[in-house]
Amino acid sequence: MLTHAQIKKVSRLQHQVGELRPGFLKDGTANLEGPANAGRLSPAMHRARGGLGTKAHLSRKIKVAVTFERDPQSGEMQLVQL
Amino acid sequence: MKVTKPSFFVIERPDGATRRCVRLVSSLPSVLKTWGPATRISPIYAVDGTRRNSPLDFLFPGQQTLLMVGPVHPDQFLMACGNPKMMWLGLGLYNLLVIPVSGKQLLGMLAWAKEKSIATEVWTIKDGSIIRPSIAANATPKANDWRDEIASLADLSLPAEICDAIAEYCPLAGSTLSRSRQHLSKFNISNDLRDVNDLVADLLDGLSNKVNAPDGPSTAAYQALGELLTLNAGLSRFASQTFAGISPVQETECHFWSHSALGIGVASLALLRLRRFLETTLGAARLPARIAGLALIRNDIPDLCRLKSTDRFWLADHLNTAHTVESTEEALVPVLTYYSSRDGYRSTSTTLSAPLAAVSACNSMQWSLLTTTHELSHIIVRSVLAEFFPDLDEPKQLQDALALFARKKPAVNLLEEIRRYLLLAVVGMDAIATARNGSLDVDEDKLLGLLDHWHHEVEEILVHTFDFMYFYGRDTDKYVNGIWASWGTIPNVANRVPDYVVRTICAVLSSHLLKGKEAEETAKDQVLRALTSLKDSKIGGPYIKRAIQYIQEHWVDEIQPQVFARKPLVRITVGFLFSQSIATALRSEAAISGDATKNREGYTLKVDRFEFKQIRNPLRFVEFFTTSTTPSALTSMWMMYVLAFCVDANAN
Repeated sequence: MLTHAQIKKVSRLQHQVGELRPGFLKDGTANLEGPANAGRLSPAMHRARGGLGTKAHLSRKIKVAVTFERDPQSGEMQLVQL
Repeated sequence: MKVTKPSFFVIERPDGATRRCVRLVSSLPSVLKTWGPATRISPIYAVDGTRRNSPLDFLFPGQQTLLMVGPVHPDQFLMACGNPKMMWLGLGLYNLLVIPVSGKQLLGMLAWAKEKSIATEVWTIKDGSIIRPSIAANATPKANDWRDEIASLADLSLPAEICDAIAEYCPLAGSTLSRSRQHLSKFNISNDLRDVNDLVADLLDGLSNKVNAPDGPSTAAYQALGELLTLNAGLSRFASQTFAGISPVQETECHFWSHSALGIGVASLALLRLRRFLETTLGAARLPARIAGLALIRNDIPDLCRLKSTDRFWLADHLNTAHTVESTEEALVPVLTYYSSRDGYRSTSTTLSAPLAAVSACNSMQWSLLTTTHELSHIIVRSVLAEFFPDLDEPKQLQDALALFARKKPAVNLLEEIRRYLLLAVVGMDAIATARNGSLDVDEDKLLGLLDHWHHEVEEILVHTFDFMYFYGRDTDKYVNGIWASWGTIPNVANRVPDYVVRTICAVLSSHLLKGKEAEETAKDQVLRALTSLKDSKIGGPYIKRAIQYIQEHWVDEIQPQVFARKPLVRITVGFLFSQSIATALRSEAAISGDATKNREGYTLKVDRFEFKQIRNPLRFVEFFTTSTTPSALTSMWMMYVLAFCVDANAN
């Protein structure tokens, strides 16, 4: 159904923010017990391994404000960035 | 061809006996009372109208010859070989059990099977005791290329955990490949398995030189391990369920104990045919690659937040005109299908499971095989999300994602603009869930937290909308019946009712986006009507009543705000994941002819009649014939036979 590259990409995304299956993940540790989440790291472990969090001090903060408003003409509800 | 009541094919070794014995019994308790270490059973159905009525209880008195043959449709067998003395149908790869009228007829049957490359095994039985088994299974082709490929994997130097997984994979793949070639040469399963093997080789590529990395195995190694373990789990279940009951029948056993003698090979083939149809239609459309190709669209990019739902931009078939960013020659890895009581309906990028209960209950809405479409949708949507989401390990991609927040105007290409819209939608969902007014400070850590928290819900909304549009043809009643009936089988579903209500309304909202301010209300009213109808028809359990009550009491304060927040996800699915031309291919069925207003909408197939009539679209077949509220093992087996043997593979 998917190409090799797509399977690897999904695997990477699952590793980063994928679904957790109850009973398989041990918090803060790489999981080697369950097929669904092997390789899935918790955010804490991710940071410990030099992933995203260690760069946080370099990251700028962006103020993001959104609201939901009705379009004055159509009346439909829309997501609006303020 | 009609069949009568079920009985059990029993293989056993009575205390003190030197040979195994075989008998047919109509009562399971009577077998259990004499159950021994070697006892195995499988349900079979006596065929009505053979030369003698095939009995439900039979001790094989005197000297008898039993031919086991398959996989083959019984109509084709009888047409070629004539009526035998007795015949029974089962779900194993040897799906026909036959007692010929004469030695001459037996020889004719064996010659026909050999010509058609269909495996056989013959037992000479004396007073129930198997005195001479003889196997005439097809010889395995001598090509050794796949053996060399598997052997080369086992020869790699790999991190310890990967070595363990490969040590399991290699013999498992070798066994499944060789058995497939021997028994299922016409079903091309060996080609599927070689594609899987290519993936495994690719996953391991580059890991062999990192055995002694100072900081232990890399993240990539664990990602590869995850894929390998998933493949091993799927492959072992597929192999054990499909190939139990092949020759020598006395020596193989299926761990699905109610089918331990002959296995459930026909049910495996049914699932395989369903999966192949989806691969040759939806899979071949290469949606994730087309989505990635939206990055090539750089002119006239609109601000998706400000674009009204009535704007013609939303109505264009973007997928149909998008260029894929990959070669269409690049292989698509087949999804391994299997049954599992524990996994139920579940999918990964490389596997798809259906509940074991579906084998004997797939005629009922609760255990419908149509639910596989939901799991297939997950596979596609996960891959699409991998295009939408930034790579969280890549600092540049994270900074680019943050820059999208700051941009406040359309992105430079369409894919980036969809990503911007999606990220803003996630912030919006979070704002509604936390009742936050005002702005949110987002840095890289916060972005990771948001995506980690909302990823699952984003996927579910996209999948529900995708499933509703592609597979249910936007038919609200069928959709609500289908998903809510199957949810009733999930333990502790009551706690999930609010989530399921929101997802259902979001999916149906995709049909009403053009209705402006009435859109959400219309979707809610349609879902409410469908749920009420479901409750009145007694299909739903108490959770249906709870869902209705939840909508009636909490539409304004709880549900509507969540639907508003998820509407961008619905718009993304409608605008960029749906293509009418692909949907048409998924839902067309040439085998439907005549008066479509009559029962079964024009199919000439008759329930529980084992006739060889070809169909082209297994999904439509499942949709039309899964209407019962009461599971029936016989009707489920009939459906498995149609799917396994009557789908015109050349039409797809």
